[in-house]
Amino acid sequence: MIRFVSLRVLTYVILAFVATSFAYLLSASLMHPEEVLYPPIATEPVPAATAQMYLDVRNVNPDTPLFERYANWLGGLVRGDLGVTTGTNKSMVPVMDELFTRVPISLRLVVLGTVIGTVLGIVLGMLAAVRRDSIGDRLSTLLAFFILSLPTPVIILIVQQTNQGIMDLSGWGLPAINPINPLLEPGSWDSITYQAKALIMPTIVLAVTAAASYSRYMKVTTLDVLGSDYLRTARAKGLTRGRAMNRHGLRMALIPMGQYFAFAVGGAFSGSLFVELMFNWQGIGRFAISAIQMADVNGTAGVVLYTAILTLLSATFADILQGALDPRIR
Amino acid sequence: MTNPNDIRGTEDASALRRRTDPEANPVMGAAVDDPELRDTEIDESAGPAIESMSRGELLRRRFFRNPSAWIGMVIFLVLVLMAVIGPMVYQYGPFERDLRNALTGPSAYHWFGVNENGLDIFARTMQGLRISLIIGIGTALLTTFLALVVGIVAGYISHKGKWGALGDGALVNLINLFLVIPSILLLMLFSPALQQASWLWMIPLLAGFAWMLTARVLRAMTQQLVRTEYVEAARFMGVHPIVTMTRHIIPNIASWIIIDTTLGVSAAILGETGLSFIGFGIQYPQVSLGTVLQDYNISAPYTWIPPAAVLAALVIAINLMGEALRDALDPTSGSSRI
Repeated sequence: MIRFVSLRVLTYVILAFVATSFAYLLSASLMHPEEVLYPPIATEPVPAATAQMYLDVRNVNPDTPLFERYANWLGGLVRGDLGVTTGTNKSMVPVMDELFTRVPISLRLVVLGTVIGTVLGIVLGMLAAVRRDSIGDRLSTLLAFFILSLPTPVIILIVQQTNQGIMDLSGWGLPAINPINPLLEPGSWDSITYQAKALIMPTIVLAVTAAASYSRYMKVTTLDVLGSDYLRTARAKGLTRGRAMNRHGLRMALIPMGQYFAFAVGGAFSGSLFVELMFNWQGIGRFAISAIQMADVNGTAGVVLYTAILTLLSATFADILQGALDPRIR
Repeated sequence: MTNPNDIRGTEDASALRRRTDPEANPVMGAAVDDPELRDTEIDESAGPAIESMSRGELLRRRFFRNPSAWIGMVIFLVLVLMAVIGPMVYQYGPFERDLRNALTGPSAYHWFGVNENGLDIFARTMQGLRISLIIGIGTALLTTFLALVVGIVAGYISHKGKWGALGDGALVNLINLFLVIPSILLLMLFSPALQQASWLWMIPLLAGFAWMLTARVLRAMTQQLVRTEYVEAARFMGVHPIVTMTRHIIPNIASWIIIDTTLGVSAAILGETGLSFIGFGIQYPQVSLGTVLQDYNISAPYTWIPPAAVLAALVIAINLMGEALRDALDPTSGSSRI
């Protein structure tokens, strides 16, 4: 199993590296930070030497060949330096610092939403398959169908509007903007409860979207397992329905889910992008949007590196889970 | 049933049958021997009594028997008609400003109300529906084509020696590579460059990042088909690989392709909406449902509910049709139907 997992991890590391390099080359060739460097308000032209230095220090000089810039960036990556933000953002913050302040904000959302959504989806999907054609099954299938037919912004709008309606009626509601209240003293009990309350709505959105798709997949795999020979053998051996399902069925139904989970974290990232935008969280998704809008080459590459690492970790986790579940691999 | 004490023989039974009235006792008085009740002879020239149903007819009947197919088709047709006729007859355009009535609810002049920039929501929704429909259908068709080419080629060549396996491995890794980077990031990167040319570039752009999962499934299906006897036979007869693919492989996976294309329309519409919502999709001279949603205002629900409802109705209609198609084309999937 260790051999299996380490081989897979190696593949993922190579994939993540290639993906990030690809993203850097793409953003470096598609974006033109030199075009947005100087505000149109500048009255006199900037000296050529100053402009060159300005571009060189940010590693976005169009006169330097693309692969030389890539090599510079790679050298920085080895040293743990992802360059500085470029484009219309002239503050030159190191991308690493930017990522370190923003990753915890995003990760809180993605991890909580994915975990709750996955568990909820797996339980609902399994129950729906075991109690086929019951009212609960029909209701959950219909609900999943409906949720999957809505884009994430609309789901967020529905949640926010519901919250607003409750607030208008009862005067009590959840905070819809900002993850933290800057007016409250950091670390105080009020501040912590505010943060917890602010987390509820975004988590509901992410968990509901994740649970909808997971429950669909889980229902299909569980139905396949329910019709299999080994489960019939287990029943014939004298196990009750529940025990047979727990000891033999659940394990086999979860194996295909692991592979699905590996690539679903990327989907969770896109979901969190909308959530951060509409709930005004200053996380990675927000940073990605502004980086691309501002023609920030290094920032974009940093975001892709983050998502690649996230996918790598979740795929490894899925493989370890698969190794633990599937006796054929051990 | 048989009573061991009943010692009556066949003669007794036939006597009994003669005596009983078939109307009163249909079981005992079975009309086997009754000459009057025998069927009239059918002459041979009349041809087969039961016409066998063609596959198309069978699929058509299965599809139209499904109520969700009807619901989906009716909603879809209504939406298409609205998208075609709406902007023709409505008095406001998607970019005409009526600032005097900014942020007012539905009225006789502004059917869905006006947003805070003074733009009419009905006009924008209908125009956006047009664009979203075109992009959705175009993207789904192009996605299927790309996935078909990559998936079938990868599946077909994977058994053809060392080079085939190498090519297949390269294609599989390409697919995995695209799955590692969230496609929304790549779409955001490409979109500004392509938007300068024409909004129609959205179609190849969206298709370019949507074919991977379909291609993976098609590859696996092709790999199974390549091992069948008739494909092997065609190969030994010297049939050209492209002919084999179009004659023997594509017809076998056609039903899955049709279903996936239908569901791909709704996926493309959702993708386009999300991209336009964050400002990287359809740009100013055009408007899409995502751009309309962008102007939401939580304190005025009529600014976002109409476009969201139209969008939801469109996607639900397409998904209903897709699932009805799945039931019609692939009845064995009933056991694992979602």
